[in-house]
Amino acid sequence: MNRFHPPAADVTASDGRSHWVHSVSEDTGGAAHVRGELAGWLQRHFTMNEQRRGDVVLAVNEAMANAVEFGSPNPISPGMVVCTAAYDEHTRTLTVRVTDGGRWRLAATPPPLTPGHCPRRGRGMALMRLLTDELRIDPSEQGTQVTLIWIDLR
Amino acid sequence: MSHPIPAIGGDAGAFSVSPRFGVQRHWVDQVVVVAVSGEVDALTAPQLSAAIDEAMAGSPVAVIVDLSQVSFLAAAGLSVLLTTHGQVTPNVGFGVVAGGMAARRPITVLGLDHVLLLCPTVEDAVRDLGGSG
Repeated sequence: MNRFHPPAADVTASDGRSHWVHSVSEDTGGAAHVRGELAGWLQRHFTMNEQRRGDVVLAVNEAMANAVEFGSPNPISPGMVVCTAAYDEHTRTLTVRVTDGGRWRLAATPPPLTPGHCPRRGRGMALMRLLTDELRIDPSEQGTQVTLIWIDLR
Repeated sequence: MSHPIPAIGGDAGAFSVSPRFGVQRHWVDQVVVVAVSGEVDALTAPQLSAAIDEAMAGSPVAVIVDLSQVSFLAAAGLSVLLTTHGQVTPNVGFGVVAGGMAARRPITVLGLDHVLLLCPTVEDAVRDLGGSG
């Protein structure tokens, strides 16, 4: 498994569509700031419609919300959640990674998608799975990395 | 955590923890409308829940949550809606005006439009839920 180690810089120096990085303090107010920055980056560099853009931002938000709620303090960077995006021009694939410092307390089996029977975290998880083309969750003692992938994105 | 910011206008009488979120209540006969603006996420969803609790304290026949001015609705906000639905119905009516795509999309993606009562407008909701039974 390739552990992703995000750079310490808060914002990339250049505004290109191949790469985007944002770190945020581990609280929900910080997540809102990242949402706005991500939405702006998507709007500047991609032609996807508003609904698609909203889907990306919502799915990434749920990953950050889980990182804030269920992540443990990162001993190196306490209270940090890092969100990065990389776009591959050839495959038109957008890969967003959300990393925290701890391990999610995930249920052993995925919660059912039946409305009304999902626990709160199950809805966030369901949104991530339904709004992405591919979703990977890699928990470890050092931190959890969530990878959200959209293919054929313009 | 940011300092509480007094709400401006409306009769909400509540403090907002975020300038990105606002909630106001108004009554139409025995129906209370909880109008939400801005972003409903993990930080602001508890305020929506508190506003609904306060609305319920007025013993309404029905509660309507108007999301037409919402720009973002996260799972935390969906949980408030579903919890409210489970707690107040059927004794008290509960309707949701989704409005634009920001609120409509997460609701329909999860199939919650088959659980919650979605109304096209506040006027429709008040008319449909304002009866005595």
